[in-house]
Amino acid sequence: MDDEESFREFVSARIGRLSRIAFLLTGEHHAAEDLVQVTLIKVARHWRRVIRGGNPDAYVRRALYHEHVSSWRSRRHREVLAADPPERQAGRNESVDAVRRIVLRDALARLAPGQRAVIVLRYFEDLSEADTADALGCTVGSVKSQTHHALGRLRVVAPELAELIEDAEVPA
Amino acid sequence: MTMLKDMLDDAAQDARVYDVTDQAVRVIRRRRAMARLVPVAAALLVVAGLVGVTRPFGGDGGGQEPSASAAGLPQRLVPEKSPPALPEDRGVGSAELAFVSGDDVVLLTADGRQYRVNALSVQGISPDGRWLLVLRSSQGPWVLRDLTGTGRQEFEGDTTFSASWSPDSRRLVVQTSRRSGVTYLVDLTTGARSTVPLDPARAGRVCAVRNSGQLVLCSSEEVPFSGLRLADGTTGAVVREITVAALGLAPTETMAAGRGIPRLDIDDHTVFIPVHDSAGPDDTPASAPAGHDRNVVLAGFDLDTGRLTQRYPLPDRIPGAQRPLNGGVEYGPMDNRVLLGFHPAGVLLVHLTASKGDPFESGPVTIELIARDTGALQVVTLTSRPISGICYRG
Repeated sequence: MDDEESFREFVSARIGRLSRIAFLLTGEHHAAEDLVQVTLIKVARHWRRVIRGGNPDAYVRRALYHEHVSSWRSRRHREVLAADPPERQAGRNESVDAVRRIVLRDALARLAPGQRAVIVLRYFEDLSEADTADALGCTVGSVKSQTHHALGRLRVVAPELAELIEDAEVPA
Repeated sequence: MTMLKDMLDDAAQDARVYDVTDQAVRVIRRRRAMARLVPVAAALLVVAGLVGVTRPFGGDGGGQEPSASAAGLPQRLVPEKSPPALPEDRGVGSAELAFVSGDDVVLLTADGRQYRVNALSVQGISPDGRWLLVLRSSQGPWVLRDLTGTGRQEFEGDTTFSASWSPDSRRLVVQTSRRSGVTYLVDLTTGARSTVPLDPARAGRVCAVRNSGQLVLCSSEEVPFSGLRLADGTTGAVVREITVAALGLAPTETMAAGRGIPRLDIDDHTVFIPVHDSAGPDDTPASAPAGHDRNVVLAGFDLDTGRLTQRYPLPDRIPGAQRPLNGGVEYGPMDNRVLLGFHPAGVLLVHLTASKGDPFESGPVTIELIARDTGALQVVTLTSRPISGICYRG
């Protein structure tokens, strides 16, 4: 199997999950697609080295999250978040869960990208603090601190989610 | 499972499948095609007299000079673009180190020549530089090669295969797999291979072999460090247990993760263990500021006297202010040092840095030496561009 074939096979088995993570990190489809594409380019560029490293999943995870944070850095002066995104007002007849989902998405969008990353890594990908630190290239202490601040920020921007956040703060 | 996780799972269902594999592959093809044109363009510029001198150590490493030299190691390591393949039908002389440059595994010989090694990775070079151990492909085998001739041996083993050389280069111990593997002791003077009947329930990892053939066992990286054990290289019987307390470490000190395993110095009796204080900054409350370092030290334990005799603190990271931060989260490759091996002049470290231009990419790598006489940390080898997987003798 050549490099391109093995790269395609690897991505094919993971593209669904990568897409979901990218969507949670960015909150919108175009940015998520860009994030996945830039990540795959970086991974493909070093594909032989990635395989040689023996843990391509960890490499891709690092690439995705680092790209998320660094691309936000380059865009941050251009992006303006709506104070009250329109989707939020459209849900009067939706179920409570659907409304909560929209509120959660909006709340995530108001977090700093690093904080969003720790929330997705810890609570969506279900990674330990050590694995989260590895993915972000930071210390475990930093992950603890970021998680604490991110949950605190979510509580402020979306008081409706207080129940979820308290539940998340209970030590496993 | 928390309610937050359930809600994130639900929110993620709104994602589409962004299958951009084809686009990514096309971009890479285009970049590679451009890269092939760059040397041609550069040659044209040289011919036109527009480029006089290149600066092989420009960019991130620009201006830095080695602060010391270590016999055998080059002061500047410039990976060749297309080194010749390591010949299979003749010897090339002893090796100094190996590294990965781009997609090539490269061997640097003591006389300064570079060869491309047909292997996925280099597992080790014997302390005298004569023997090379490589993983041929992800399915194996592991190949032991005599670099002064054509002699070779093969071992079957998985990617957790590990190997250690005795300081006098007369013995090699290999574990074909840490979970279910066989431990072999190879007499390199005769090529004879014997199986060491270690108790599989307690074997852990063989981290060193002494000149006498005695094995130094340590915990696998997956379990908490529990000290060292010395085992007879013939019978496999444990002849001495050295608990963490007996090592002379502080009660809160344990082996540092990701800094390598305990290694035997070339004096044949000092084992260096990377340790950190578990009560240090990593265990501080969540409110602790980001960027705290772990206090990693290399602790040298003398197997003969049973005492901790040396402690070399490792400066672990560039100051936090120089590391990319976002929302308080540091990112990019870690700036840290790992134990590379032992030189008569001191302990060798690989210093990995993050690129200043692209935080995701690795920056220049340097080889540093902790001088035995003064304890000073000195840069001995600079590299011209990022390399990885550096393997030194021993």
